[in-house]
Amino acid sequence: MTSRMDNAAAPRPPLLLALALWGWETGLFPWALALGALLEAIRFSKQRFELRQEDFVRLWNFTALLFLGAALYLFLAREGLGTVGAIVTTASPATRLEEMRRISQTVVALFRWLPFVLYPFLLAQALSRTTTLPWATFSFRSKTSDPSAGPRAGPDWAVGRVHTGYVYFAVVLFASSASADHSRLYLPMLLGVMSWALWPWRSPRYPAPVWIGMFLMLLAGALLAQRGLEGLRQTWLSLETRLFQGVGQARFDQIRGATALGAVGRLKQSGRIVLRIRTDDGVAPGLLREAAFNRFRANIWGTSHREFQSVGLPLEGHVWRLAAAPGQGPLITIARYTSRGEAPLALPGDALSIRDLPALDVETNYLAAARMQEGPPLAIYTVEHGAGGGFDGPPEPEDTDLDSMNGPDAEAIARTARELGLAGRTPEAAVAAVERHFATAFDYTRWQGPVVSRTNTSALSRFLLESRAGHCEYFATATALLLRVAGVPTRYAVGFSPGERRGDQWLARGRDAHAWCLAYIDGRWRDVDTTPGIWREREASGAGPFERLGDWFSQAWYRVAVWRQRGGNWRIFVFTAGVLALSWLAWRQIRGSRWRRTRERPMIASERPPARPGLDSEFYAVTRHLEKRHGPRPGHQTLRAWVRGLAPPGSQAASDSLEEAVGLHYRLRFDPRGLPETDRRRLRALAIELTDIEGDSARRGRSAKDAAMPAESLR
Amino acid sequence: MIGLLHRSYLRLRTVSAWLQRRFTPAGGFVLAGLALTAGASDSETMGLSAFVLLAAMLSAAWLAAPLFRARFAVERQAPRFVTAGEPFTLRVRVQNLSNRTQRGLEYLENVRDPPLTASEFAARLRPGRGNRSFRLESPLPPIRPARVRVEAIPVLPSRGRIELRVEIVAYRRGPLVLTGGWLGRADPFGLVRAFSRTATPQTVLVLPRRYPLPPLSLPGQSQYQRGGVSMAAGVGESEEFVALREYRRGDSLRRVHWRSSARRGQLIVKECQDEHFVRHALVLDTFCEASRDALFEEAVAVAASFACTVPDQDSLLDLLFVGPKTVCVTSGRGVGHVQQMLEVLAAVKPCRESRLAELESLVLDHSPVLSGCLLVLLEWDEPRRALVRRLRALRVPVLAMILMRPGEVQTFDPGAAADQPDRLLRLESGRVGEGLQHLGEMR
Repeated sequence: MTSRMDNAAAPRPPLLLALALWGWETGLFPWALALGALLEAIRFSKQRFELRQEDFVRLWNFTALLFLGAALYLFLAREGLGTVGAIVTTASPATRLEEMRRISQTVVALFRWLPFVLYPFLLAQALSRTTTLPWATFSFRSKTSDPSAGPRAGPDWAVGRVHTGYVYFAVVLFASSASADHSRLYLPMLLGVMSWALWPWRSPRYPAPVWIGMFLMLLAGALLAQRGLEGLRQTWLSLETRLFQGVGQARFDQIRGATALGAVGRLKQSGRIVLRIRTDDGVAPGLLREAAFNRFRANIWGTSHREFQSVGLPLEGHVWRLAAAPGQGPLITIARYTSRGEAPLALPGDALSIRDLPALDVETNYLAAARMQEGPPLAIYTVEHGAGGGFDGPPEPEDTDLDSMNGPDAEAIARTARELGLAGRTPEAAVAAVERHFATAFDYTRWQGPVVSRTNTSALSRFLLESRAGHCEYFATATALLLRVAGVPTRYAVGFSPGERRGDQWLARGRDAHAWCLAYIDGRWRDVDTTPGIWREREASGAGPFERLGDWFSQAWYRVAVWRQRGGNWRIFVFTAGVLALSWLAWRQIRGSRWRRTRERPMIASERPPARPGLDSEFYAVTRHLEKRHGPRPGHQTLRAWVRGLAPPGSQAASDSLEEAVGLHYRLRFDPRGLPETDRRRLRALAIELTDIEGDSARRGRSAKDAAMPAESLR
Repeated sequence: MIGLLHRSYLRLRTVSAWLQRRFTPAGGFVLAGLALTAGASDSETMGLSAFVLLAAMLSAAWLAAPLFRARFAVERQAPRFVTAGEPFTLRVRVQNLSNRTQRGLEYLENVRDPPLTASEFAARLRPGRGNRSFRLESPLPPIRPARVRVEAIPVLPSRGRIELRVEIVAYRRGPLVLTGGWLGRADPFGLVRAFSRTATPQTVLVLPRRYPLPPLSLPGQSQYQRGGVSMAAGVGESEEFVALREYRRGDSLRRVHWRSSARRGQLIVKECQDEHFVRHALVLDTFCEASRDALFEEAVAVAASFACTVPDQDSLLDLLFVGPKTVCVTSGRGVGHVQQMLEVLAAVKPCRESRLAELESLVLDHSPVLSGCLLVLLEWDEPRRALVRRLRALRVPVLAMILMRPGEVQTFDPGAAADQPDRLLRLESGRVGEGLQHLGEMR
C-alpha cells in the first residue's frame, strides 16, 4: 500500500509530535525531543548528501544488526534462556502462561526501544534527497540486484516503494503504546498526533468541519471505551488466573492441600519425562512420594496439615537432614526442573537426607511432603534413604476417619468391607485380604476421562461395586478407606513409580504418576500398593508415535540445562558469541562483500560513474582567475577556443601550460575512462602554477594600472 | 498438503487484492497498526487502548463509506498490443450521470487475475536443480499479471465528462483482460474506499519484452528457395518471372505466354529464374523445468527481439519451436508479418517434457533452405550439442545463444570444439540486453 505514496506527493508525518508522545510515555522526553528536533532541523536545512541505493542497503543492514544486538541484550538481561527453558520443560499451562508473559514483556521492552534503533537509518534518509525507498532495500533476498534494473522493473510508481518517514512514525506510535504507564491523557494525545498525520490524506469530498467533527466523536468514543476496557482487562486477568490455575501440572503440590480423583489420571496422559533418576546400585528406585493426603470427602482427598516448616539450615555440601535417625543407606539421585526455583521434592518413603541441593530452603510438612524454595532451574539432588528414614507425622484421628464420606462412598466401602470381613482383623490380615481382593477380582484400565455421575452412585462406588476396573487412584483410595474400616490408620500418597530404564538412568514420565496407600502398621508407615501390576504395561501402550522424538529433544535440552548450570558464566559465552557474530556481520558490511561470493555482482548503479564527473577539476580555479581578469567566457565559445583567444602568440610557455591544462581538464571531464592519477597530479600542478602567474600579474597589473594586457598577465 | 497450501495462497491473494483496493495508503497504515497492536498488545501496556482507538477509527471510516450510489458512464479505449514490462496508457472517459458535482473520486482499473492452477503452484514450489529453496516468486516469472496506477479524478461537474489516462504495466505476456473500471470514493478520514463499478471486459495482447539488437550480420549465404518468395511459406511451386523471350526447342508448353504469342504471331514464352535469398531459422528451446521458467521468459524475449529485427534485413525468418505441437512461422520479404510472429511468441508456453527429438527433426527438415540457424537455448546439454553438431555437419552456420542464471556463466563449459557452434553467446539472466550487444562485436 505504501507503494502508492509517490516521492513528491507524499506529505510528511509529524515525527516530532510522535517522538514527543513516545518520550513522554516512556520517560525519555528529553531524548525524544532532541531526536525529533534534529529531524525537524534537517527539514529546514538545505544541506543534503548523495546516497545511493547501495548505501541505503548497507545502512539497513546495520540497522538490522543494531536491532539484533538490542534483542540479544534484552533477551540475556531478562533471563530469556531460563524463560524459554521453563516453557519447554514445564507441563503446567499456568507456568507456561506466566513464562510467555515474561517473553512478551521482553518483546514489548524491545518495541519501546525501536525508535532509537531505527533512528540512524531515518536520519540518513532525511539527509538524503529521497523520501521513499524501494521495497528491495529492506529485503535480504533481492539485495544482489539493482531493483530498477531487474526484468520486472517498470516505472517508478510500479516498483513498490516505502515511505520510511511514515513507517518510522507508525513504529514510534507503536513504541509509545508499549508503555506500562496507564495515563488517561495517552489516548487523546495519540488521537491528536494521528489526526495531524491523517489531515493531508482526508477526502477532498467532505468539508473540514465534517472531518473535525468525526475526530471529536471518535475521541469521545475512545475515552468511553477506555473506561470499559479497564474493566474488561480486570475481568480477563481474573478469568485467566482461574482458567489456568494448576491444570495438568506435572507435580503434586500440597500447597493447595487437595487432589481430586482424576488428577493423577490426567497426568498419566502425558509421556513427558518428569524425573531422571540414578540409583547407586542400579535397581529400580521404587515409589517416590511427592504428597500425601488424609481426608477424603466427595471424591477429593484433602489434608489436615497444610503448613510447611523449614528443615533448618543445610549442613556442609548442601545436605538437608530429614530424619533424626543417623543411619546410612543407598543413594538415589533425582533430576527435575523447577518453576522459578520452586518444586516439590519426590522422595522415597524412608528418606534420611537430601544432598547437593543448592536451595535457599527445604520445607516439609506433617504428612511427609517436601518442597524446595529458591532452588536452581534444574534441581539435581541425591537422596539417602534406608532404615529409620521417613519423616511422616504419627497417626492422628483424620487418618482413621470414615465419617466424612458421602452416602454412596460410605455404602460401597461398608459393603466391600463386610464382604471381606475386615472388621476385627489384624492390620496384616486386613492388608492381605484387601490386596488379594483387588488382585483377583479387579482389572486395571487407563483413565477414561471424567464420568457423569448418576444419583446414588459415586466414582468410587461404581469402581467397587459395578465396573471393578479403574486406575491407580481408585485402588489407592479404596485400599485406604477399607483398611480404615479394619482400624488401620491410612493416608493417600501420590508421586511417581519409575519403571523405564534408559542407560544408567531411570525415567519417570507423566504416565508413571501413581497413587498408593500408606498404612500405619507396627509403628511405622508402610507403602501398600494394590494397583494390579499390569498397570505399567497398559499405560505404556498409550505412548504416542512421536514419543521417541520428544525424548530426544528432552534429552538434548536436559544436557543443555546441565551444561548451563555447571558452566557458570554461560551468559557471558552467549553474549560474547552474539557480539562476535554481530561484529563479523558488521565487518562484512563495511568490507562490502556479499554472502555468496560466487554470485557476487557489482550493482549496476555503482558501476555508473557520477552524473557529471570532473566537476572538482582544479582548472576551474584558473578559469575563475581568467574570468575575473578578462570578463566571462562568451556562451558560444568552447573553453579551449576562449583560452586560446586570451593568449597572444608571444607568451608561449604560459599558453603551452594553459593548453596542456585544458587538455587534461577535458579528459577529466569527458573521457569515459577518467584521468589517471599521474595526469591528475600534473593538472593540479599546472593549475597552481597558472593561478600563481595569474595572481601575480593581476597584482602587477593593478599597480601599473594596466589591466588591458592579457599577454603580460599570462607571462 | 500442496492442495491446502494452494488454496491458502489463492485466498491470500484474493484478500490482499481486496485490501489493496479497499484501503487507501493511509488506511493501509492504520490497518497495519491495528494488526500490530492486536498481536503485541499486553494487558499491562497501553497497546490495548491504541488497538481500540485504531479499531474505532477504522470502523467509523467503514461506516462512513457506505455503498456508492452515484451513476457514471465509463468508456475505455485500450491499445490492442502492448509490451510486457513497459507501461501503457488506457484512455478512460468518465461521465457523471448524476445531478451532483462529484469530488475526490479515484479510478481503479480492474485486471483479471489469471488462475494459478494447483499443478502450476506445485511446480513452482518444487525445488529444481537450480533453486534449492521454496520460492513462489523471484527468480520465477511473476504471477501478478499487471499493476495499475490509481488515478485521481478531478472535480466532475454534474452531467460533466472527463478523460483520464490510466497507466498500467503488464508483467506477463499473453492476453491481459481488463475487466472494468471501479470508481472509488474515500471516507472523510481518507482510509477506506467505497466503489461504483462498471464491468466491460476488454482484452489487450501483451507481447513479449524485446531487447534492442546491434546491427546484425548473420551467418550464411543465400540459398535456392523452391517456390520463390511468395510461396516461401512452402505452398505449391512457382518461380520468379524475369522476361519474355522467343520459344526455343525444349521449352515447356506450360510456359508459353499465349497473349503475347497471339500479338507477335510466334510463340513467346515466359522466362523465369530460380529464387535465391537469405533465410534464417530462429529456433526457440521450450524445454525446461518449472524452476527455470524465468530463463524461458528471457529466451522468448530474445526470440522476439530477433523476430522484430531480422525480417527487416531483406531476409526470411522461420520461427521454429515445439509446443503442444511443432510450430513454424515465417515472416519477412512480404510473407507474414512481424506482428504475427510476436503474437505467436506471446502465447508460447514452456514444455515440461523434453521433446528435443521433435525439434531436431523440425530443424533438420528445414535445413536445406536455411542460410543460417539462430538457436535460443535454455541449457547446453548433450541432446542440444548433438543438434548443433548435426547442423554443422549439414554446413548450416549456427549462432547459439544460451540463457543462464547469474553465477552459471563462470562455471559454463562449452565442451569439445566439435560441439561448439560457429558463434556462441552466453546470456546471463538479468543482463540479457547487455549480452546481446556483444552480437555487434561477433563478425
